[in-house]
Amino acid sequence: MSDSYQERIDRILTTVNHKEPDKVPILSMFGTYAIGYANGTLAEIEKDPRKEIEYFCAPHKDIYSDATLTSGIIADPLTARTVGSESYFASEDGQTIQNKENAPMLDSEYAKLIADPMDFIFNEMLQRKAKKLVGTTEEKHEVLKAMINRVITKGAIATELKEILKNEYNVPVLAGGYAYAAMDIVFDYMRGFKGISLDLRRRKDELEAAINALYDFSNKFMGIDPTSTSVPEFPFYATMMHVPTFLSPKQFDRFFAPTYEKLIKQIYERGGKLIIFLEGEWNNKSEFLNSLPKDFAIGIVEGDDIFEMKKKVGDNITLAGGMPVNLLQFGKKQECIDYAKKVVDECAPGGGYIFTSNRELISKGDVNKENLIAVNNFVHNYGVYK
Amino acid sequence: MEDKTVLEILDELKETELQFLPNDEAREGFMTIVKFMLLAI
Repeated sequence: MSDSYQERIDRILTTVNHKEPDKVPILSMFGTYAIGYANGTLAEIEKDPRKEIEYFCAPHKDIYSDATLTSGIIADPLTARTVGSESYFASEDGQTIQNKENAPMLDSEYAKLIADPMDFIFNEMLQRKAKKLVGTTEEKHEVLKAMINRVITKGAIATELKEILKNEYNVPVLAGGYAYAAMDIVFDYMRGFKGISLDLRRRKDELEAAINALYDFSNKFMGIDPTSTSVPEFPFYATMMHVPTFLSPKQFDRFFAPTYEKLIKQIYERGGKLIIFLEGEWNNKSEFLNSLPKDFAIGIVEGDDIFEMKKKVGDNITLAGGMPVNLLQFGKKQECIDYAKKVVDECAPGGGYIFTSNRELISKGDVNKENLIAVNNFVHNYGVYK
Repeated sequence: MEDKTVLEILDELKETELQFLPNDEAREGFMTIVKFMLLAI
Protein backbone atom coordinates (compact mmCIF):
# COMPACT_ATOMS: atom_id res chain seq x y z
CA MET A 1 0.00 0.00 0.00
CA SER A 2 2.98 2.28 -0.54
CA ASP A 3 1.53 4.33 -3.39
CA SER A 4 0.87 7.80 -2.05
CA TYR A 5 -2.49 9.58 -2.11
CA GLN A 6 -1.22 12.03 -4.74
CA GLU A 7 0.31 9.27 -6.88
CA ARG A 8 -3.07 7.59 -7.01
CA ILE A 9 -4.86 10.79 -8.01
CA ASP A 10 -2.23 11.47 -10.68
CA ARG A 11 -2.66 7.93 -11.98
CA ILE A 12 -6.39 8.49 -12.40
CA LEU A 13 -6.12 11.96 -13.94
CA THR A 14 -3.50 10.76 -16.41
CA THR A 15 -5.68 7.94 -17.68
CA VAL A 16 -8.74 10.24 -17.81
CA ASN A 17 -6.71 12.45 -20.17
CA HIS A 18 -6.10 9.39 -22.37
CA LYS A 19 -2.43 9.16 -21.53
CA GLU A 20 -0.74 6.13 -20.05
CA PRO A 21 -0.09 6.48 -16.32
CA ASP A 22 2.48 4.37 -14.44
CA LYS A 23 -0.12 1.70 -13.67
CA VAL A 24 -3.73 0.87 -14.53
CA PRO A 25 -5.79 2.61 -11.82
CA ILE A 26 -8.12 0.46 -9.74
CA LEU A 27 -11.43 1.76 -8.43
CA SER A 28 -13.32 0.27 -5.50
CA MET A 29 -17.10 0.62 -5.29
CA PHE A 30 -17.99 -0.43 -1.78
CA GLY A 31 -21.56 0.47 -1.02
CA THR A 32 -23.16 -1.22 1.97
CA TYR A 33 -20.85 -4.16 1.15
CA ALA A 34 -18.47 -2.45 3.58
CA ILE A 35 -20.90 -2.97 6.48
CA GLY A 36 -21.15 -6.69 5.77
CA TYR A 37 -17.39 -6.90 5.25
CA ALA A 38 -16.89 -5.50 8.76
CA ASN A 39 -19.60 -7.78 10.17
CA GLY A 40 -21.42 -4.65 11.29
CA THR A 41 -25.06 -3.65 11.13
CA LEU A 42 -27.04 -0.53 10.25
CA ALA A 43 -28.56 -0.63 13.74
CA GLU A 44 -25.09 -0.31 15.28
CA ILE A 45 -24.36 2.71 13.06
CA GLU A 46 -27.62 4.29 14.18
CA LYS A 47 -26.61 3.81 17.82
CA ASP A 48 -23.05 5.01 17.26
CA PRO A 49 -22.58 7.09 14.07
CA ARG A 50 -18.80 6.68 14.25
CA LYS A 51 -19.23 2.96 13.46
CA GLU A 52 -19.87 4.09 9.88
CA ILE A 53 -16.24 5.24 9.68
CA GLU A 54 -14.96 1.96 11.11
CA TYR A 55 -17.05 -0.15 8.73
CA PHE A 56 -16.36 1.83 5.57
CA CYS A 57 -12.62 1.70 6.22
CA ALA A 58 -12.62 -2.07 6.82
CA PRO A 59 -12.38 -3.31 3.19
CA HIS A 60 -9.52 -0.90 2.50
CA LYS A 61 -7.38 -2.70 5.07
CA ASP A 62 -7.26 -5.78 2.81
CA ILE A 63 -8.31 -4.75 -0.70
CA TYR A 64 -6.08 -2.53 -2.83
CA SER A 65 -7.60 0.33 -4.80
CA ASP A 66 -6.38 3.66 -6.13
CA ALA A 67 -9.67 5.37 -5.33
CA THR A 68 -13.13 4.63 -4.05
CA LEU A 69 -16.26 5.89 -5.79
CA THR A 70 -18.19 7.10 -2.74
CA SER A 71 -17.79 6.74 1.00
CA GLY A 72 -20.36 6.00 3.64
CA ILE A 73 -24.11 5.52 3.48
CA ILE A 74 -25.80 7.68 0.88
CA ALA A 75 -29.47 6.72 1.34
CA ASP A 76 -29.94 6.78 5.08
CA PRO A 77 -32.94 4.99 6.68
CA LEU A 78 -32.65 6.95 9.94
CA THR A 79 -32.90 10.29 8.10
CA ALA A 80 -35.98 8.94 6.31
CA ARG A 81 -37.56 7.74 9.56
CA THR A 82 -36.87 11.11 11.19
CA VAL A 83 -39.45 12.69 8.89
CA GLY A 84 -41.78 9.69 8.90
CA SER A 85 -40.80 8.25 5.52
CA GLU A 86 -40.46 4.56 4.67
CA SER A 87 -38.58 5.18 1.43
CA TYR A 88 -35.37 3.59 2.75
CA PHE A 89 -35.22 0.76 5.24
CA ALA A 90 -32.83 -1.93 6.41
CA SER A 91 -33.12 -5.37 4.83
CA GLU A 92 -33.57 -8.48 6.95
CA ASP A 93 -29.80 -8.98 6.98
CA GLY A 94 -29.46 -5.68 8.86
CA GLN A 95 -26.58 -4.71 6.57
CA THR A 96 -28.09 -3.62 3.27
CA ILE A 97 -30.63 -0.91 2.48
CA GLN A 98 -33.77 -1.27 0.42
CA ASN A 99 -35.59 1.45 -1.43
CA LYS A 100 -39.35 1.57 -1.67
CA GLU A 101 -40.53 3.20 -4.89
CA ASN A 102 -41.05 6.85 -4.33
CA ALA A 103 -43.82 8.20 -6.58
CA PRO A 104 -45.98 10.63 -4.59
CA MET A 105 -46.87 12.96 -7.48
CA LEU A 106 -50.07 12.52 -9.50
CA ASP A 107 -50.09 12.94 -13.28
CA SER A 108 -52.67 15.72 -12.90
CA GLU A 109 -50.21 17.83 -10.89
CA TYR A 110 -47.74 18.79 -13.60
CA ALA A 111 -49.18 22.31 -13.89
CA LYS A 112 -48.52 22.98 -10.20
CA LEU A 113 -45.00 21.54 -10.41
CA ILE A 114 -44.18 23.64 -13.47
CA ALA A 115 -45.64 26.85 -11.97
CA ASP A 116 -43.62 26.65 -8.72
CA PRO A 117 -41.49 23.52 -8.24
CA MET A 118 -40.29 24.32 -4.72
CA ASP A 119 -43.74 25.22 -3.41
CA PHE A 120 -45.32 22.12 -4.90
CA ILE A 121 -42.58 19.70 -3.79
CA PHE A 122 -42.05 20.91 -0.22
CA ASN A 123 -45.38 22.41 0.76
CA GLU A 124 -47.65 19.86 -0.90
CA MET A 125 -46.11 16.65 -2.26
CA LEU A 126 -43.56 15.96 0.48
CA GLN A 127 -46.17 15.39 3.19
CA ARG A 128 -47.54 12.37 1.31
CA LYS A 129 -44.42 10.36 2.14
CA ALA A 130 -42.98 12.30 5.09
CA LYS A 131 -45.83 11.50 7.46
CA LYS A 132 -44.38 13.49 10.35
CA LEU A 133 -44.66 16.71 8.36
CA VAL A 134 -48.44 16.91 8.48
CA GLY A 135 -48.83 18.23 12.03
CA THR A 136 -48.87 21.68 13.57
CA THR A 137 -46.20 24.27 12.85
CA GLU A 138 -44.50 23.41 16.16
CA GLU A 139 -44.47 19.69 15.31
CA LYS A 140 -43.14 20.27 11.80
CA HIS A 141 -40.51 22.62 13.24
CA GLU A 142 -39.24 19.95 15.64
CA VAL A 143 -39.18 17.24 12.95
CA LEU A 144 -37.30 19.42 10.46
CA LYS A 145 -34.88 20.56 13.15
CA ALA A 146 -34.14 16.92 14.02
CA MET A 147 -33.68 16.11 10.32
CA ILE A 148 -31.25 19.01 9.83
CA ASN A 149 -29.27 17.87 12.86
CA ARG A 150 -29.15 14.37 11.40
CA VAL A 151 -27.77 15.81 8.13
CA ILE A 152 -25.17 17.78 10.11
CA THR A 153 -24.09 14.60 11.92
CA LYS A 154 -23.94 12.64 8.64
CA GLY A 155 -21.92 15.43 7.01
CA ALA A 156 -19.39 15.46 9.84
CA ILE A 157 -19.00 11.67 9.67
CA ALA A 158 -18.59 11.78 5.86
CA THR A 159 -15.91 14.47 6.15
CA GLU A 160 -14.01 12.53 8.81
CA LEU A 161 -14.30 9.30 6.83
CA LYS A 162 -12.79 10.97 3.74
CA GLU A 163 -9.92 12.33 5.86
CA ILE A 164 -9.19 8.92 7.37
CA LEU A 165 -9.29 7.23 3.95
CA LYS A 166 -6.84 9.87 2.76
CA ASN A 167 -4.48 9.92 5.72
CA GLU A 168 -4.48 6.28 6.80
CA TYR A 169 -5.21 4.42 3.56
CA ASN A 170 -4.04 6.87 0.85
CA VAL A 171 -7.39 6.32 -0.85
CA PRO A 172 -9.12 9.32 -2.48
CA VAL A 173 -12.90 9.45 -2.88
CA LEU A 174 -13.75 10.02 -6.53
CA ALA A 175 -17.20 11.58 -6.22
CA GLY A 176 -17.24 15.16 -4.96
CA GLY A 177 -20.32 17.10 -5.98
CA TYR A 178 -23.33 15.57 -7.67
CA ALA A 179 -24.68 16.47 -11.10
CA TYR A 180 -28.20 15.13 -10.62
CA ALA A 181 -30.14 15.17 -13.86
CA ALA A 182 -33.48 17.01 -13.69
CA MET A 183 -35.30 14.15 -15.43
CA ASP A 184 -33.98 11.70 -12.85
CA ILE A 185 -35.51 13.88 -10.12
CA VAL A 186 -38.92 13.32 -11.71
CA PHE A 187 -38.21 9.60 -12.21
CA ASP A 188 -36.60 8.82 -8.85
CA TYR A 189 -38.65 10.92 -6.45
CA MET A 190 -41.87 12.07 -8.05
CA ARG A 191 -43.45 9.89 -10.72
CA GLY A 192 -41.61 6.54 -10.52
CA PHE A 193 -41.16 4.03 -13.32
CA LYS A 194 -44.80 3.45 -14.14
CA GLY A 195 -45.74 7.12 -13.96
CA ILE A 196 -42.94 8.42 -16.13
CA SER A 197 -43.45 5.61 -18.65
CA LEU A 198 -47.04 6.79 -19.14
CA ASP A 199 -46.07 10.48 -19.13
CA LEU A 200 -43.52 9.86 -21.89
CA ARG A 201 -46.43 8.87 -24.10
CA ARG A 202 -49.40 10.86 -22.82
CA ARG A 203 -47.97 14.01 -21.23
CA LYS A 204 -44.89 14.75 -23.27
CA ASP A 205 -45.10 18.55 -23.20
CA GLU A 206 -45.86 18.69 -19.48
CA LEU A 207 -43.02 16.30 -18.67
CA GLU A 208 -40.61 18.34 -20.75
CA ALA A 209 -41.73 21.59 -19.08
CA ALA A 210 -41.40 20.01 -15.62
CA ILE A 211 -37.85 18.86 -16.36
CA ASN A 212 -37.01 22.41 -17.48
CA ALA A 213 -38.62 23.82 -14.32
CA LEU A 214 -36.53 21.51 -12.10
CA TYR A 215 -33.25 22.51 -13.75
CA ASP A 216 -32.59 25.34 -11.27
CA PHE A 217 -32.92 22.96 -8.33
CA SER A 218 -30.54 20.39 -9.81
CA ASN A 219 -28.15 23.22 -10.64
CA LYS A 220 -28.23 24.58 -7.09
CA PHE A 221 -27.71 21.07 -5.71
CA MET A 222 -24.59 20.68 -7.87
CA GLY A 223 -23.26 23.64 -5.90
CA ILE A 224 -21.14 25.49 -8.46
CA ASP A 225 -20.95 29.20 -7.70
CA PRO A 226 -22.17 30.85 -10.94
CA THR A 227 -19.59 33.63 -10.52
CA SER A 228 -16.68 31.16 -10.24
CA THR A 229 -14.30 30.61 -13.13
CA SER A 230 -12.85 27.27 -12.04
CA VAL A 231 -13.61 24.10 -10.08
CA PRO A 232 -11.03 21.51 -8.93
CA GLU A 233 -10.08 18.88 -11.50
CA PHE A 234 -10.37 16.35 -8.66
CA PRO A 235 -12.60 15.03 -7.11
CA PHE A 236 -15.07 14.58 -9.93
CA TYR A 237 -18.71 15.57 -10.17
CA ALA A 238 -20.79 12.41 -10.25
CA THR A 239 -24.01 11.36 -11.94
CA MET A 240 -25.81 8.12 -11.21
CA MET A 241 -27.84 7.64 -14.39
CA HIS A 242 -31.20 6.08 -13.56
CA VAL A 243 -33.87 6.71 -16.21
CA PRO A 244 -31.73 6.80 -19.41
CA THR A 245 -31.47 3.02 -19.79
CA PHE A 246 -35.29 2.93 -20.13
CA LEU A 247 -35.39 5.69 -22.78
CA SER A 248 -35.16 5.34 -26.53
CA PRO A 249 -32.46 7.51 -28.13
CA LYS A 250 -35.22 9.85 -29.35
CA GLN A 251 -36.72 10.21 -25.87
CA PHE A 252 -33.25 10.66 -24.38
CA ASP A 253 -32.47 13.46 -26.83
CA ARG A 254 -35.72 15.28 -26.18
CA PHE A 255 -36.25 14.85 -22.43
CA PHE A 256 -32.99 13.96 -20.73
CA ALA A 257 -30.13 15.48 -22.65
CA PRO A 258 -30.95 19.22 -22.94
CA THR A 259 -31.00 20.10 -19.22
CA TYR A 260 -28.29 17.57 -18.42
CA GLU A 261 -25.93 18.98 -21.04
CA LYS A 262 -26.59 22.48 -19.72
CA LEU A 263 -25.77 21.26 -16.21
CA ILE A 264 -22.50 19.50 -16.99
CA LYS A 265 -21.33 22.23 -19.35
CA GLN A 266 -20.71 24.32 -16.25
CA ILE A 267 -18.33 21.68 -14.91
CA TYR A 268 -16.48 21.44 -18.21
CA GLU A 269 -16.17 25.20 -18.68
CA ARG A 270 -14.53 25.46 -15.26
CA GLY A 271 -12.01 22.67 -15.84
CA GLY A 272 -13.75 19.94 -13.84
CA LYS A 273 -14.36 16.30 -14.67
CA LEU A 274 -17.46 14.13 -14.58
CA ILE A 275 -17.93 10.50 -13.59
CA ILE A 276 -21.12 8.89 -14.87
CA PHE A 277 -22.46 5.59 -13.57
CA LEU A 278 -23.92 4.21 -16.81
CA GLU A 279 -26.63 2.14 -15.15
CA GLY A 280 -28.26 -0.48 -17.34
CA GLU A 281 -27.35 -0.45 -21.02
CA TRP A 282 -25.99 2.51 -22.99
CA ASN A 283 -25.08 0.82 -26.22
CA ASN A 284 -27.76 2.79 -28.11
CA LYS A 285 -26.63 6.14 -26.64
CA SER A 286 -23.03 6.06 -27.75
CA GLU A 287 -23.64 9.18 -29.85
CA PHE A 288 -24.30 11.15 -26.69
CA LEU A 289 -21.17 9.78 -25.00
CA ASN A 290 -19.13 10.68 -28.08
CA SER A 291 -20.64 14.17 -28.11
CA LEU A 292 -19.17 14.96 -24.67
CA PRO A 293 -15.96 16.99 -24.71
CA LYS A 294 -12.95 14.69 -25.11
CA ASP A 295 -11.24 13.62 -21.85
CA PHE A 296 -14.01 15.21 -19.77
CA ALA A 297 -15.97 12.18 -18.59
CA ILE A 298 -15.50 8.75 -17.07
CA GLY A 299 -18.25 6.22 -17.70
CA ILE A 300 -18.68 3.26 -15.36
CA VAL A 301 -19.92 0.47 -17.60
CA GLU A 302 -22.58 -1.67 -15.95
CA GLY A 303 -24.75 -3.65 -18.37
CA ASP A 304 -22.82 -3.15 -21.60
CA ASP A 305 -19.95 -5.19 -23.03
CA ILE A 306 -16.89 -3.15 -22.08
CA PHE A 307 -14.92 -4.38 -25.08
CA GLU A 308 -17.61 -3.10 -27.45
CA MET A 309 -17.94 0.16 -25.53
CA LYS A 310 -14.17 0.64 -25.68
CA LYS A 311 -14.37 0.49 -29.47
CA LYS A 312 -17.44 2.72 -29.65
CA VAL A 313 -16.72 5.49 -27.14
CA GLY A 314 -13.35 4.67 -25.58
CA ASP A 315 -11.41 7.27 -27.57
CA ASN A 316 -13.60 10.06 -26.20
CA ILE A 317 -14.42 9.11 -22.62
CA THR A 318 -12.57 7.01 -20.06
CA LEU A 319 -14.23 3.71 -19.25
CA ALA A 320 -14.30 2.07 -15.84
CA GLY A 321 -15.48 -1.45 -15.19
CA GLY A 322 -15.08 -4.76 -16.96
CA MET A 323 -14.76 -7.18 -14.04
CA PRO A 324 -18.02 -9.15 -13.75
CA VAL A 325 -19.34 -9.34 -10.20
CA ASN A 326 -20.84 -12.78 -10.83
CA LEU A 327 -17.41 -14.12 -11.77
CA LEU A 328 -15.94 -12.59 -8.61
CA GLN A 329 -18.76 -14.24 -6.69
CA PHE A 330 -18.73 -17.74 -8.13
CA GLY A 331 -15.53 -18.11 -10.19
CA LYS A 332 -12.27 -19.73 -9.21
CA LYS A 333 -9.44 -17.38 -8.33
CA GLN A 334 -7.44 -18.19 -11.48
CA GLU A 335 -10.52 -17.72 -13.70
CA CYS A 336 -10.97 -14.25 -12.19
CA ILE A 337 -7.33 -13.35 -12.72
CA ASP A 338 -7.42 -14.62 -16.33
CA TYR A 339 -10.48 -12.47 -17.01
CA ALA A 340 -8.92 -9.42 -15.36
CA LYS A 341 -5.85 -9.91 -17.58
CA LYS A 342 -8.03 -10.00 -20.70
CA VAL A 343 -9.81 -6.78 -19.64
CA VAL A 344 -6.53 -4.99 -18.94
CA ASP A 345 -4.90 -6.25 -22.14
CA GLU A 346 -7.79 -5.02 -24.28
CA CYS A 347 -8.91 -1.85 -22.49
CA ALA A 348 -5.83 -0.32 -20.90
CA PRO A 349 -3.47 0.44 -23.85
CA GLY A 350 -3.30 4.19 -24.47
CA GLY A 351 -4.96 5.06 -21.15
CA GLY A 352 -8.61 5.97 -20.77
CA TYR A 353 -9.34 2.96 -18.60
CA ILE A 354 -9.93 2.30 -14.88
CA PHE A 355 -10.25 -1.27 -13.59
CA THR A 356 -13.27 -2.03 -11.41
CA SER A 357 -16.23 -4.37 -11.09
CA ASN A 358 -19.27 -3.92 -13.33
CA ARG A 359 -21.52 -3.16 -10.35
CA GLU A 360 -21.28 -1.41 -7.03
CA LEU A 361 -20.91 -3.96 -4.23
CA ILE A 362 -23.95 -3.92 -1.98
CA SER A 363 -24.09 -7.17 -0.01
CA LYS A 364 -21.36 -9.17 1.69
CA GLY A 365 -22.17 -12.10 -0.58
CA ASP A 366 -21.84 -10.09 -3.82
CA VAL A 367 -18.26 -11.27 -4.27
CA ASN A 368 -15.88 -13.84 -2.87
CA LYS A 369 -13.54 -11.46 -1.07
CA GLU A 370 -10.49 -13.63 -1.81
CA ASN A 371 -11.21 -13.27 -5.54
CA LEU A 372 -11.54 -9.50 -5.25
CA ILE A 373 -8.29 -9.20 -3.31
CA ALA A 374 -6.57 -11.44 -5.87
CA VAL A 375 -7.72 -9.56 -9.00
CA ASN A 376 -6.98 -6.11 -7.57
CA ASN A 377 -3.50 -7.23 -6.50
CA PHE A 378 -3.00 -8.84 -9.88
CA VAL A 379 -3.99 -5.71 -11.83
CA HIS A 380 -1.90 -3.50 -9.56
CA ASN A 381 1.18 -5.61 -10.32
CA TYR A 382 0.43 -6.67 -13.91
CA GLY A 383 -1.06 -3.41 -15.18
CA VAL A 384 2.24 -1.56 -15.39
CA TYR A 385 2.67 0.63 -18.46
CA LYS A 386 6.09 0.25 -20.07
CA MET B 1 -47.82 30.47 16.29
CA GLU B 2 -49.34 31.04 12.84
CA ASP B 3 -49.45 28.04 10.52
CA LYS B 4 -46.24 27.92 8.52
CA THR B 5 -45.24 25.94 5.47
CA VAL B 6 -42.29 23.56 5.31
CA LEU B 7 -40.34 26.08 3.21
CA GLU B 8 -40.99 28.87 5.72
CA ILE B 9 -39.86 26.67 8.59
CA LEU B 10 -36.74 25.64 6.68
CA ASP B 11 -35.92 29.31 6.14
CA GLU B 12 -36.19 29.93 9.88
CA LEU B 13 -34.08 26.90 10.72
CA LYS B 14 -31.43 28.06 8.28
CA GLU B 15 -30.93 31.07 10.51
CA THR B 16 -31.10 29.28 13.86
CA GLU B 17 -29.45 25.89 13.25
CA LEU B 18 -26.76 26.68 10.71
CA GLN B 19 -24.94 29.53 12.42
CA PHE B 20 -21.84 27.34 12.68
CA LEU B 21 -21.38 27.82 8.93
CA PRO B 22 -19.24 30.80 7.90
CA ASN B 23 -21.69 32.82 5.82
CA ASP B 24 -25.13 32.99 4.26
CA GLU B 25 -23.90 31.44 1.02
CA ALA B 26 -22.71 28.36 2.92
CA ARG B 27 -25.99 28.19 4.85
CA GLU B 28 -27.95 28.42 1.60
CA GLY B 29 -25.82 25.65 0.07
CA PHE B 30 -26.32 23.42 3.08
CA MET B 31 -30.06 24.04 3.03
CA THR B 32 -30.18 23.01 -0.65
CA ILE B 33 -28.65 19.67 0.39
CA VAL B 34 -31.26 19.34 3.15
CA LYS B 35 -34.04 20.04 0.65
CA PHE B 36 -32.64 17.51 -1.80
CA MET B 37 -32.47 14.88 0.94
CA LEU B 38 -36.04 15.67 1.96
CA LEU B 39 -37.14 15.16 -1.63
CA ALA B 40 -35.12 11.95 -1.87
CA ILE B 41 -36.62 10.32 1.19
